[in-house]
Amino acid sequence: MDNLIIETKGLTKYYGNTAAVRDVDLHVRKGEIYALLGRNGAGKTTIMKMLLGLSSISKGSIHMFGKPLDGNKKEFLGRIGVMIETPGFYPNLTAAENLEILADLRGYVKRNAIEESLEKVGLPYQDKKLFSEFSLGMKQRLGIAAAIIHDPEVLILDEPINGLDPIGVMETRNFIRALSQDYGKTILLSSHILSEIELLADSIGIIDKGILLEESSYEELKRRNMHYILLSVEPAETVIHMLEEELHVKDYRVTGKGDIQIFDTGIQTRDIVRLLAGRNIYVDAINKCSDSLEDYFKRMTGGEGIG
Amino acid sequence: MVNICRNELKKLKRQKTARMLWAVGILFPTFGMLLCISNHYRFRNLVGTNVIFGSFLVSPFLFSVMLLNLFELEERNGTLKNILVTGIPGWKIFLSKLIVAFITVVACTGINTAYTMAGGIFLKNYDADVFHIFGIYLGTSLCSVCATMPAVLLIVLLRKRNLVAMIGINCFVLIDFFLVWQLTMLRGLGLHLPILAAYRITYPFTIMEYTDNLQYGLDMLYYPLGKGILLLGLTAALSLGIGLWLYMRQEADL
Amino acid sequence: MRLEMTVLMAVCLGLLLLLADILRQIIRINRVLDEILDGHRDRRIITRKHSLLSGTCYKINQIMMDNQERIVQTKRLERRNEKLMTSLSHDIRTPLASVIGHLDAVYYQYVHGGMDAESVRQAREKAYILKEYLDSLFQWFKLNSREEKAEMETLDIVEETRTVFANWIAVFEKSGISYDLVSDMDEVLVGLDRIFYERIVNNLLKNATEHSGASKIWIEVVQADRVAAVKVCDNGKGIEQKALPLVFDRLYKADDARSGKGSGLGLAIARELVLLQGGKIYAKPLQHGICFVMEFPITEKKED
Repeated sequence: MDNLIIETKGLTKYYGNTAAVRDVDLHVRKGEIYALLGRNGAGKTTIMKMLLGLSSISKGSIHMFGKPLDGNKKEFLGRIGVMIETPGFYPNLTAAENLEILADLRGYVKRNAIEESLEKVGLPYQDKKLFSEFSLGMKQRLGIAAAIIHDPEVLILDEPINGLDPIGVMETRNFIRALSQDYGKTILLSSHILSEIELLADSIGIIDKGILLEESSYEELKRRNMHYILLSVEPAETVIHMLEEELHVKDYRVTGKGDIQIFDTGIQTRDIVRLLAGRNIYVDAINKCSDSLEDYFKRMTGGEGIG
Repeated sequence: MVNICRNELKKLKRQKTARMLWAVGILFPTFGMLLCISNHYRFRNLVGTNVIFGSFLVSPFLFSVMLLNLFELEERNGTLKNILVTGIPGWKIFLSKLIVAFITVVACTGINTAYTMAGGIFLKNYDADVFHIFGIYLGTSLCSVCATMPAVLLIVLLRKRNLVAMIGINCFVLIDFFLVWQLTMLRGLGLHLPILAAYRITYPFTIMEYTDNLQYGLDMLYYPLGKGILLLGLTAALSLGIGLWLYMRQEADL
Repeated sequence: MRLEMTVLMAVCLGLLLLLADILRQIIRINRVLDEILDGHRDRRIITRKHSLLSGTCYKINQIMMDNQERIVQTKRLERRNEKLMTSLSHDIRTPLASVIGHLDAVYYQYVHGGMDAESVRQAREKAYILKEYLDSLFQWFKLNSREEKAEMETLDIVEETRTVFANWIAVFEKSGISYDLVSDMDEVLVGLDRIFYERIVNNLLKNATEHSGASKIWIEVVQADRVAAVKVCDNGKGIEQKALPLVFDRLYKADDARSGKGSGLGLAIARELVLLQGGKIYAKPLQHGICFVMEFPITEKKED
């Protein structure tokens, strides 16, 4: 597809005999915000490092901007802005000096690039404060400033909201959204704060134990899997049998409280009501609900939440 | 490359370790100078002292500690990933740090020269040829740094553990210095170590004035020039080559 | 002879290297420009800081970035207009639905004999509110598209303020709000449009009376340097720190509940009118309440 900014095929990474990342097929389209969801250690950071050439690839291929990564790494790195793991800067230098070091190595796109990128993240330019004296919020902001200093087309951000206070989270969220919506930048980010992902992501990729479990647009995900009909009935077992036989319901789950969650998208509420009324079943409640992303994640990875 | 080296220097701004190293480089020659002046030695003694202590102790010390500092700086602050992401190839980073460490040595050589010229005014047989003195110090520093190159291997392997690496290279430098100082004893003349070769092939050039008894020393310490240079060159090349290879391999998997 | 030759060769070598470097840069620039022409408008040229061609690269990048910025502003404007349209349709639909509801009831009563004046009264009231809203909106649009022009005269701002304030005394007394007007000067001459100024003060007082829940409303007229400041203050619930920069936005409403009162346009219109007269307006939060401060430049007394 012409539109894919990042595409990986069978991306695999072995550390010794264990596969940290196995057979990942990622597809990130131009101009969208793609969120990688996964617990700590699921492989999100490893994937990002491989995309940037910081880690070697055991198997598989990476294509960016339609071209393979091998041989074009330097050109690609000039078009990608990165913030990986904790922001790494020199504590004995000020914010501007730190950015100057990176910009001198990479090159400039405008004369006052450093001043402008500091302004965009809200850090003072002429500040004499050394990086060692920065608060966590300021460190994170400097990390973002370093990522945007050369006006890249793609941003790869590893847990950008990590450790920020609520106002910082909101500001970062708005900033990222503006970059994507207004400026059409492609953003690949990873996070484990699901509530924030819900507000930002266009596409979602769920990673668990190094395997990409699912990849789809957020809308599609909601429509397909997260909407369900909640049924409070007694007795649940008889009803389940009925639903399977008569309405051919396949994708359902019984909650701890004895309620039935029906995920099949083809089933209509009215059919269920008619069926149960006709068999004289007492229905306490029938609701159209939707899973939160956290619940969906728990279901997909079969375990505790992502926290 | 010039840009990259300038960047490395910028990283040392306000840094405690760098400041300490500069202090050592600037203050150390004063000891030798004051010693010689107070004991009314001759100028050639001053030069000899500064060669031994300056070029064979301080220079390798400055070189390896500065190099360790530069590598460890990236590890400690997690900045290597930021640097690699700008598209710079790993070997340029390696090379630029080497060059900066070397510049430190050359700078301190210059300071050494300045002190020598200043101190020598008070001594007998003063020879005011600045270039000659600077040449002596530079040559000897160059050779001793080449002989100290195996420290690079220690640095590349141990840079993630600063304390261990620091102890390691300091021991290496001190042992080398000790061997040079006590060259004539402990079967030193039989060993074909790079550091000893460095001292022995440069010894003739550090003599400021010939006397009869000096000839005995010259004969004893003689070491074929060609062989010496080959030994030093090999040491330096091998250490750097293997060091670079190890560095690139480690870097491929951050 | 030897020396001159080596110097010459060194210089030639240096120049050749420089040329090669520049050629390499030119090739790289052209490649990026090709991609831009192909439609990838967000490609940028990265260059060293001190190269001969860096100025050129910066300029090309700046042209692309300016273009992009313009598109971004247009997109943002479109989105805000859409939001306005949606809120507009909602603000009209609600009272309109109410009007229709009441009129339906009236018709039903009429058909079945009998008539209830209450329903008719309600319908009529809602219809007038709707008209008021549309008038405000229309005025805002005219101001925004710069169709209105201020007719400036040199007036005594203290006197004008006093006149408008006086009209509100009856309203204040009826609502049990205490009021005051303080001025440290007897006469301050300012360039104003009388009608615009009246509208501004009316809007601000209306805002304070209806939305702040205040028990005291007062106006201060002060003079500082060459500027006359008029502060319309109240001791009501004020405005949150976060919302302060947005308060003059045409889409801003203090409580999101659709209480029906106020369309958020009053302050936005006031701002446009102040700007048209060459002044400025801002909100200053108090310990309890808020002051809306307008500043106008004082007209120098002309020596006749």
